[in-house]
Amino acid sequence: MKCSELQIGEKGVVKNIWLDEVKKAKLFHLGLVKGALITCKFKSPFKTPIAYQINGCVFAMRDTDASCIEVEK
Amino acid sequence: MKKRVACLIGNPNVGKSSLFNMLTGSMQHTGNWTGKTVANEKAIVEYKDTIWELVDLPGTYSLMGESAEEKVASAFVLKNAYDVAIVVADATNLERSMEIILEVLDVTKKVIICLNLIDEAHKRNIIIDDKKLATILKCPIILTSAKEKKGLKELLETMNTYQSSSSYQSKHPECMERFYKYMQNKYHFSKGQSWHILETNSSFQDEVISFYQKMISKEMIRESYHEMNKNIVKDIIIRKGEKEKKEDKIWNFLFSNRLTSIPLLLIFLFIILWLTIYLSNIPSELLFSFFSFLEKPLNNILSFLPSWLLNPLLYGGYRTLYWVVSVMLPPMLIFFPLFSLLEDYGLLPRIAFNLDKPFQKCGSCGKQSLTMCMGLGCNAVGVTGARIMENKKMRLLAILTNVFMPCNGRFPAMISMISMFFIKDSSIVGSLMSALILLGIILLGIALTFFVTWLLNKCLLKEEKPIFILELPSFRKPKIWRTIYFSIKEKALHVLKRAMIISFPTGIIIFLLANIKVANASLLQHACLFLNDFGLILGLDGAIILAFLLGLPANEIVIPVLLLLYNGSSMLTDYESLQSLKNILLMHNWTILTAINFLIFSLCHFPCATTLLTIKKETNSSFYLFLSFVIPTIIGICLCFITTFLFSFK
Repeated sequence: MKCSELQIGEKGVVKNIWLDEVKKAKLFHLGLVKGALITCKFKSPFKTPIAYQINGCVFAMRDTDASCIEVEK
Repeated sequence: MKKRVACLIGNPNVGKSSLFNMLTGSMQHTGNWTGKTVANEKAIVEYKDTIWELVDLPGTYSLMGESAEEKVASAFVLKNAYDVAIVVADATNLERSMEIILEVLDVTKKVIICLNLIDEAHKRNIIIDDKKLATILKCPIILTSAKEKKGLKELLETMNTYQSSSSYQSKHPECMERFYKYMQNKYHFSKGQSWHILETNSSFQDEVISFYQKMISKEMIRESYHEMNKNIVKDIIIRKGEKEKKEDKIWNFLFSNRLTSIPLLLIFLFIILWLTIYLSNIPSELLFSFFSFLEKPLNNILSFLPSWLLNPLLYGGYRTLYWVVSVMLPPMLIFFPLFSLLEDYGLLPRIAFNLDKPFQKCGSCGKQSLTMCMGLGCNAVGVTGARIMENKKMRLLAILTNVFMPCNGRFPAMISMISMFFIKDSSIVGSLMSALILLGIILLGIALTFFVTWLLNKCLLKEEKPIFILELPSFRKPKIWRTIYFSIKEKALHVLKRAMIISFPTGIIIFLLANIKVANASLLQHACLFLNDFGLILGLDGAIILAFLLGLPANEIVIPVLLLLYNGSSMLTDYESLQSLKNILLMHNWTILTAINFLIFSLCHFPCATTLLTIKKETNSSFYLFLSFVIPTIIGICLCFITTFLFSFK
């Protein structure tokens, strides 16, 4: 499933990342890599961006980007 | 005494700057968001028999970073011109800090690791086996907490005594290892320097290098570090059902909730503005009467000067100077510290997070809201702050629209307009009301920001891929007194200095213009008359337009200049009270429409000289400088024209 489809509080393991290099590098440094456990924390009042947690780090990305990340529950 | 050099490197927002400050006692401002340190900060520390030159590098996740400040950091590390590299790691998220630790270990073996924020990690039930980590990486590990001043002595002691170097050997995939071996043998390059050469395409005329360049991608290097990271970390960190901080939970809930988030932001903005307005009144008056009291003694002391020199200096320059200072200083001393407290607390990234969607629609991103907030303090600060934007297009959008946020320099004039023409009483209720109206004006400014951003994005700037990935740091209690001290020192006084440099000469010029008479009227009166017809079309008059033009160096002097023009006097004079100011304005045919248009025009007109200079410096382009001047002015003229037109039906 897509990462953007995770409901608040749900967890998933990252399978694939279909994003360009620049974004991939940024996300990499936040801990978003294949095999990472990602938790959907909360959403902005406008539904996007969405806040995720990986390890101890909370970060936000837009739903358009999150939908390019494949996760498995 | 030995002289040695140490550098501090680590991820953004791990408390590197705090640690640096504690070590050196020098005080640079620390903030709870990414990208605070942009250039290298240096300081000298003496400990026992060694003089340390400490270099605080900008925060970076990796030596492979792309942004300007990340490159500054990695260039310094790769040069290897230091005695010790201190890698500051975040104990609450060691997985992430490991990356940079491993990369630095591939460049130099003289590494000390600081596990910072260790107290916070304990609070969150994260246990780190630092002894095991030390045996794996074969370098000293020191637990520090900059907040509780823990581990600092130990760190300095280790820096002094640490002689040997880590014998840690990283293990990369085989083809990379072969390349590193080649580089080591032929050029004596460390692994880190080697892959950096692969990446930068430097001018090495070496076929072997270009061969490996094709084989080893950046992705592979990163993956390799990540693999090592995973293997090390899995035995080191134990997260025992991590507790989320209660504070984080509450705020995150409030900020992501549809009903509470936007009102909450507005309430914060409102409180800051109200406190600024309400608290700055009395000190402003005190300062003003103090400086004007000094005028007479100064006159006596300087009476040996000829009057053609004394008068412009004292009644032109000095008077304008203290006018600007006493109007500007108190609100800035209140606004910037309050803003910095919110910043340190960690609220600002949440604002960017919440407001991203509307900005996304306009082709920008949520971070623009932060530059706008800074603009409320000072547009020049806001323009510089646009460096946090992720690409060039979004940065330009943020720079060109920043002027729609009324800065502190414009508030006093706006507030006195509001209290003269829209508010009846001057009690707390009255000041609350005027803050509310001011908030309304700011909302108009926000609407204009969105509109202009959208317009510029549509028709002017080239398409660039939008990007918005933002870390949301955990809330941290700000160090109140230090924050106040720094925001005053770095923002308020800085801006004040620039304003003073500009206001003194302007004061002299205005004095001269008001006193040089041609055909029975001063030059200023001629200019007023010339502009009058244009002013009337906009529901203003010639004097108001001229006051704004002469206020180019500093918006604070718009009202004093206006008064000078109306009174036909030869120097700036204070009004007895708001009532007397109102009487003067009414005498010159001011109506509620004039007041409204004055407010609109103060919101949308050309930025002040300081801001213009900053824009020129930041964009390095006369075209954008021109745009930043013209766009708000045209919009201001149009809006004034529309209100005047609407009022003509009445």
